Order: sequence, then structure tokens, then C-alpha cells
Amino acid sequence: MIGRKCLTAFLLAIFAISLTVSFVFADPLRVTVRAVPVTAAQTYLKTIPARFKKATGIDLKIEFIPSRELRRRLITAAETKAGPDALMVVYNGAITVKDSLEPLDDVMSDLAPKHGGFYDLYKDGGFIDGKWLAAPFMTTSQVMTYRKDLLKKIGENPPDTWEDALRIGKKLKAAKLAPWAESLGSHVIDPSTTVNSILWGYGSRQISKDGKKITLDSEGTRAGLRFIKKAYKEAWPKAVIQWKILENNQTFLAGKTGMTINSPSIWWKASTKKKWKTLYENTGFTLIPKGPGGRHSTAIPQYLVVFKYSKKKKEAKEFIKFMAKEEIQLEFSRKSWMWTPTYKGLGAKLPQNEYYKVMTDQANYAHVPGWPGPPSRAGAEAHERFVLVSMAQRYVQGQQTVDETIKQAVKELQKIYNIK
Amino acid sequence: MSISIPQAREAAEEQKWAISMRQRRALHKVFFLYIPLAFFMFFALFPFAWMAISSFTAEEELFDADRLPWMIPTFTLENYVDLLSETEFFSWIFNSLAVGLIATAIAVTVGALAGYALARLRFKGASMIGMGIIVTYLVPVSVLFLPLAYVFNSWGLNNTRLALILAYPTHLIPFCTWFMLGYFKNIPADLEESAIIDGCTRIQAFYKIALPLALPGVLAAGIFAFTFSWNEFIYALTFISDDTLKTVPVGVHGQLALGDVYYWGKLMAASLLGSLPIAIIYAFLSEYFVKGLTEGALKQ
Amino acid sequence: MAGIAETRTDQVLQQAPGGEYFPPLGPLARRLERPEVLGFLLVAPALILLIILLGYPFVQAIWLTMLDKHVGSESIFIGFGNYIELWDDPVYRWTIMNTMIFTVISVIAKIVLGLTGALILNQAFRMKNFFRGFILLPWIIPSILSALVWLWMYDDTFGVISRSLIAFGIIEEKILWLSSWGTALTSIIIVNVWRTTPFFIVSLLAALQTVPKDQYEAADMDGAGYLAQFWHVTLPNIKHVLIIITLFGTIWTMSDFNIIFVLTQGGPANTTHVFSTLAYQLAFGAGKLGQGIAVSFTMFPLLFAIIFFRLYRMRKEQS
Repeated sequence: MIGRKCLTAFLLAIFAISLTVSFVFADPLRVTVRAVPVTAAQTYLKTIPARFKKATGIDLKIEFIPSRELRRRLITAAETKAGPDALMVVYNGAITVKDSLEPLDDVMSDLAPKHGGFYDLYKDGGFIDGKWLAAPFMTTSQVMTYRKDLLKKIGENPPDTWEDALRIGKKLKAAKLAPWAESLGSHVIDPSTTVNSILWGYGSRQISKDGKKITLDSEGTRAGLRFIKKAYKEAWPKAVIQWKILENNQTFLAGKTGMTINSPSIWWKASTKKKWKTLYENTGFTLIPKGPGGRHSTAIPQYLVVFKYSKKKKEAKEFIKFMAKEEIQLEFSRKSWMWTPTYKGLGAKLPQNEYYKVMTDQANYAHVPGWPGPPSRAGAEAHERFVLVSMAQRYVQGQQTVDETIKQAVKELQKIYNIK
Repeated sequence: MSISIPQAREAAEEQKWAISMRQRRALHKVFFLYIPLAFFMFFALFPFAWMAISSFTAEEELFDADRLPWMIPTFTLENYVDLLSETEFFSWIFNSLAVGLIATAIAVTVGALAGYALARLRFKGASMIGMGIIVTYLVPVSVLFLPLAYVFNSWGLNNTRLALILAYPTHLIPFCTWFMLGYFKNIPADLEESAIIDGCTRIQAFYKIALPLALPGVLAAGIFAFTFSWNEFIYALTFISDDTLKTVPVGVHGQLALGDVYYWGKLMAASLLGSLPIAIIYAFLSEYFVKGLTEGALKQ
Repeated sequence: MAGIAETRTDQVLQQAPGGEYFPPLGPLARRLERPEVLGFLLVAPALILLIILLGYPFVQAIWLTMLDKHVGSESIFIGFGNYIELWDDPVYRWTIMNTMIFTVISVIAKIVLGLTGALILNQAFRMKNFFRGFILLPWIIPSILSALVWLWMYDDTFGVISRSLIAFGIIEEKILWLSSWGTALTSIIIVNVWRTTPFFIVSLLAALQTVPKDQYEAADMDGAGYLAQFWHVTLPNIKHVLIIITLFGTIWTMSDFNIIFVLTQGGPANTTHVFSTLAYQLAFGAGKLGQGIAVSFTMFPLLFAIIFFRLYRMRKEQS
């Protein structure tokens, strides 16, 4: 039996610990950005506060969180009016909290004309109700990543159209080589890219350009869905239905996937270990294929927003300007393997190889989910609640016919957009 | 002395029967103890075995789908080395321990006081209060975390460990109160009564007589509360943003599962190391945990 | 219980100094002796903490569910509008059913496995405490971490479960654990059961140890078989414990978030949501805070009904 002495000691120990808990903070500019898996870029990011201090004299503290946490942090910060002064957001995050954000038009009027202007992509998520609420930070393009050696084996060039991709996929499967695979699980990034890129490519649009009419029930949507089902049946592995975001990276590294849409984080990972050297050398990139309705894709635009509650708005804007500097953008692009500049003109200053060419070119064709409607909370909600991805999942798994699944998705969109 | 033939036969018969009895017992043990026990231990522990194996395997070999699972091609400690050198793992462990222990201490103290009062003292509204405290246990964490974030924010406690130290007891106090209430009810009251007749005050009776008797219950409630704190995720995710202030679950989930790259080896190493401290606590105190459950609270 | 308690009270009595002199009480202390004063004082810390940190936020949460509250924006009072809108949402209605199925199957599985495990461990054998300690491990590890481990084990390419089964020749094709509603829900239930069964086992084991031996002997004399003994002796004796841990199990299972959040995020096609994950998606995905909290909130009356019914029955049985 443990006696009273033990209990006293236990309580004393707790008291001692609680004394050491108290913490004192200095008050620098606090910025939260996503952590980059790539070590070199992460190391470089960590040197930014010192560089920023040297350039502007402002103390800066950067906090790193995983990209999927950005949205939760955005919402808690906006709602409780506490948190970082500036925060990185992706996709359409800024729209969701638009009333809590400081307009950045003054910064943007400085920055926008430089280097041939920003990619159009940034307007989809940052230019809201006639104001810039989110300033471009970097782009992560998602591109078609493929194995050069396997394509050579079946005598194919990298795909240019979705039909090409399907043909290659079928050949890869028939030759029992690592197949073509696209994520189709429930996740806001990779599966959304798969579904949106194909649907857009086949001419499907979820909403009209003025945002007043749900236009999902169209021949384009049907054709796109049929293509997805055909690809699932004839080329993709059955497991893609549960692939969220990790799986295509991991299977590509394992040599079990021959072609997939991804940001080049796979390629970076392959460069880190000796065992993956041949894989690394045999990885090629090409644009996401086009369909009868043109070439469209999602990319992951990343922005910086400044909160209204911040007491350091001026400093935060300085930080945005600092990050848009040519040398910073280029340095990040060289180090990160996944970020490319936000300016159209800067691509030419990067090393001229296939990787940078494809990565920067892809941003020209990219939109944010919810396109082509104007940025809206409803568009963000439809994306977050997997409306389109679920539509494809239901059809691919044979639970619903193409008409039924579109009908259900239209109903969901009508409810979300509040349009009859 | 000679044994008659029928007697010998009988003895032999008995012998045979005895052997078969022993065999039957052994068989019984195999079927009703060893096989089911093995099944249960397997079900409970094989994720841990896989965790351990993965944590000692190099990353490029984890992503080799063609080799047989359950083997470590080349034994490596790099996952552990990287985990401890590249992340704030020690801070996370410290935070989890500090927050968990303090929150547990608060909850158990407060819960024992309230539980004693509700079990022993007859006062107006006691049953209502008791019921009310227990019903609060039903309020899901997912209802509270946002309003609590407003509260902590207005107190300037955002991004501090104190926020967690204050938040966890909301979930722990109802349980501890209920647990201690049951425990005190099962301790005979006459001892305290006679001490009070002897001139001892109620409070003295509480901490001199009832509390030492209820120590297994206090420990059991404490272990339970600490387990909850150690496991808690949503509050820690919402209230803490500094890397050095995170708890183990939030830190590991946030720093080792990044975007489309999960560091499985390090994740497994962190999971193992992250369950170690509390496993040690259980190894020493599980006797009290069971005793606490047996003697008091669960009887009611 | 009686025996242990008696021995301990003896010790306490010995420790307590025999004829200690107690001074007469002062006026303040005398007032403290009154049960209504002291009782209230002792309950006060719990009450104050709970009112400030639970009651107040809870009321605020109720208020939030009545608002058309979009994150960071002005909100409009809409009464029960959020609940009406939710009821109109097929995903929400599916979630209610899904949560029910998940909770009921999971809790039943835990009771069955917990009882079996407890009966097994209740036998006399060597290293019993060792096994009991080990079997608690799943309950100890933070569930967000164990869910990640299970995600890794369920993986269709690298997952150890499918690969082992294939290696042993039990199955031919990989099992796509998280691909459809049925398999995904099963996978979630497996993890949930894996995690909480140890608690059931240890609690029920504690209860089994309090069953008086003479009742078994009497039943043996009557020639009752194992099943009859279990039914007439074991079960009535552990009934209370069983009910209580079932109640707790229901509360924990129904409000589980971590496992589903890591394994499926509600997918495929939003079919495996439970209240807490749907609430998360609505609040943090869509930014509809009022509606998100309203989803978590609907769990409360459900739990309350179950628990109240149970407590009421228990009270009736006692009196």
C-alpha cells in the first residue's frame, strides 16, 4: 500500500512541474506556413526570419504546420481572433473567412505589375468581392508524373490527351507493368485534382461563370464521368477508390505505379535514398492531359493572408513583399522541388529543364476548385464536402447510374450554393 | 498384505481414470485458456509488433511491397535517431506529462472532495448536484472546444499549456467524482462516525480515515484520468500552435504526417516511445487500478 | 471486499492515536460541521470549475447552434434553422444511422470480447498479472497514433494484414479495407474494438474477482454446468459492472473522432461519417460553425436518453 508520504511526494512533484510550466513570450511578427517535407526547403525557410530581420529590421517568428492543418488554423484564428498575424492558405481558404481578412490591395498594386504579373490562378482564390484578400505566395503545380523507362518499354510518348493516358494505362496494365493510377478516395487534394481535371477537360462545369446557375447536369459531366469509370475499369488499380493523398506517392516509390498526377514530392523523396536512384533518373513530368474541352487542372496555389485582428499589419505586409522578391521566389523554387514562382515571368529564370518547364507551364492551365464561378464560400464548401469526388465514387463503384449520381450532386450543389 | 484381484483391477481402473482426468484437465486448459489467451494476446499486441518492426526498418525498405512482411532486412536505428534529433519529441513528452499530471491532480482532488461530500453528507440538493455533475460527462468534446477557445482567448491563454490544464478537468472531474462517490459509499461509515463522536471534525475524519481507506480508488481514478489526458487530441489540436508546446499526439500527427509524405518509420518509433511512459505507470500501478475498480466504484 | 476493508480499517485504527485529545470546536469550525455548509464547500470546487469551463461554454454552444454562424462573420439568429437544414441533408441523416450502427456493433463486440477475455484471465495460471498488463496496451497508446498505425496496416500496397493473409495463402486478392461503406465501417469498428476491449476486460475481470466462491460451490453441488453457472451465478454478480461499463463504452464510442478522422475522413462518398467527423467537416471544412456544433449537439440528447433511462432503471431496481 502506498502511504501518505508517497502521495505528498507525488503532489510536490506535480507542483514543481507546474512551476516550470510558466513561459514568457517576446512579441515578434508571427507567421504560420506549411511545413515542407523537403529538407532543403525547410532549412531555407528557417533562415527567412534572419534574412527578413536584416532586410527590414522586423523580428519574425515562423511556425510550421502540416498543410492539412492550415484550414483549421485559419478558421480558429479568424473566429477566436487570436493566432498568427499572417497565415498561409491554400485553394479557396481565404473566401471562407473573408470578413476577418485585411485587404491587401496596397501591397498588390506594388507587386502585381512585376515580372509579367501573377498567374490567373491566383484570382480564383485571392481576389474576392473586388479586393485582394490573399496575396500570392508560391504555387505547387500538380503534374503528370511518369516512368520514362516503362513508357519506352511499351513504345509510348507521355500522354497529351486523356485518351492517350487511357491508352497508355491499358498498355501498361496489359504488359503487367506498374499501372497508371489516380487517387479517387475522399480527400481535398489529390482526388479532387483527379476528378476536377478530368471533368473540366471534358467540358463539365459545376457552376456558371456569374455564379448564378448550377451547370453540372451536362453532357460534359457525363462524358467525364464515363471516362473516369472506363479508366478505373480498364487501367487503374481497384484500390484507387481508397487512395487519399499518400498512396500514389508511396506506390510510385515502390515501383507499383507507373504514371500518376502528383506534385513532385515523389521525385524529391526518390532523390533521398540510394535505392531509388534509377527511379529518380527515370521519372519524367508532363502536363496534365487535355480533353475535348481543353486543358484544365487544379494546382495548389498558396497565399498569405493578414488578419484584421493583427496588431502588426504593416509588418505582415512587409513580409508579403519580402516573400514576393525575385531572389526568394527563385531560391524557394530551386530548393523545394514543389514550389514554383507566382509570377509568370520568373519561370524563364529557373534552370531550363523539363521539370521546371512543366511545373511553371502547368500553372497556366490551373484553376481553383469551384471554377469557373466567382470565388465563393459555397464553392469552398462544395470542395471540402467532396461533392464532385463523391459523385465520381458513387458512379465508379456502380452504386448509381451516371444520371442518378449527377442528380444527387446537383441537389447537393443547389443546397450549398442556395440556388434552385 | 495381499491385494485381491478385484481390488487391484479397481485400483488400475482408478489410475486410468485419473490419468484421463488429468488429460482432460490439460485439454480443457488448452481449449479454454491457452488458445483463447493466445488469440487475445495476438489481437491486442500484433499492431505493436508491427510498430516495432516498422520502426527498426529503413524507409526505403518499408516501401518495398514485394518482400515478405514481418522481417527486418537491415536493422536500423535511424528512425529513432532522427525522431529524437530532428523533432521536438522530448518537449512533446514533457508537455504531455506536465499537462496530464497537473490536470489529473486537479481532477482527482476536486473529484474526491465532491465525491466524499455526495457520499457522506446529507445536504439539500446533493442528489441533484451529483446527478448534474455526472450528466456533464455526456457533453461531447466536439461541442465544447470552440466555445472554450473563445473563453481561453479572452483570458489570454491561447497557445499555453495552462489552457489544456484547465480544459482537461472538464472531462475528468465528472468521471472522478462519480468514481470516488462510488468508492466512498462502499467504505463503511461507522469508523468516521465513531471518530466524530470522539470529537474529531468531519474534515479530519475525511483526510485521516476515509481518504487513506480510499487510496486505491484515488489511484485508480488518477490512472484513468491520466490515460484520458495522455490520449486527448481535439483540445490540444485547437488550443496549441507552438511546436514546443504540443502534446505527443498532436506533435507526432502534425510533424511526422506531412502532406503527401508520412514518415512511417519515425511515426512508428514515436508511437512506441509515446506509449512507453504510460505503460510504465500501468506496470507499477495496474494492481491499484484493478483494486480500485473492484473494491469500490464499480459496485455502487 | 469486506475482508480487505476490515483489515485496512484495523491498520488505520492502530495508526490513529488512541486517546488523542480533541479541543472543543470554535464557532467557525462548528459551522463547518453542519452538513449543508461543509457539503457545499466540498462540492464547490467541482461545481465552480464545471460551471465556468463547461456550463458557460455549453450554453454558448447552444446559442451558436441557433445562429447562422459563418466563421468570422456577423451572425443571424435563426432559431432551429440549423437543425432543420441538417435534417434536410441526406449526409446528416445517413450519419445518424451510421453512428447508431457503429456504436451498437462496436459496443456489443466489446461486451462479448471483454467478457470472454475476462473469463479467460479469471482462471488460475502463471504470469497472470503479466498478461493482464500487456492486454491493456491498446488502451494506453494515444488513439490518434494507433489509428495511424492501423492506417499503415490497412494500406492496400504495404499493409501487413492483406500481405500476411496472402503470404499464408488465406486470400488471393488484397482486401481493400477502406474502399466501400461496409468494409470501411468494419475496419473502423475493428480498430475501435481493439482499442477499448482491454478496458472492458480489466473491469470485468475486477468484477469477476468479487463473485463469492461459495456460490459457485453451491451451484456445483446442484450439478449446474458451466453455462448454467455463468448464467445464474456469474452474470447476476457482475451485472452492475457490466451495465456501467456499457454506459461508458457507449459514451466513448459514440463520441469517437480520432479513428475515423485518420482512417477515412468520412469517405467513401461521405458514408462513414459519425457525428464528430461530420461536425468537423462542417465547421472546419465549410466554415459553418453553427451548423457544425449543431451536429455534435444532436449527440447529447441521444446519449442523455440512453443514460437517463439506464440510471432510472437502476434506481428503481435498488429501491
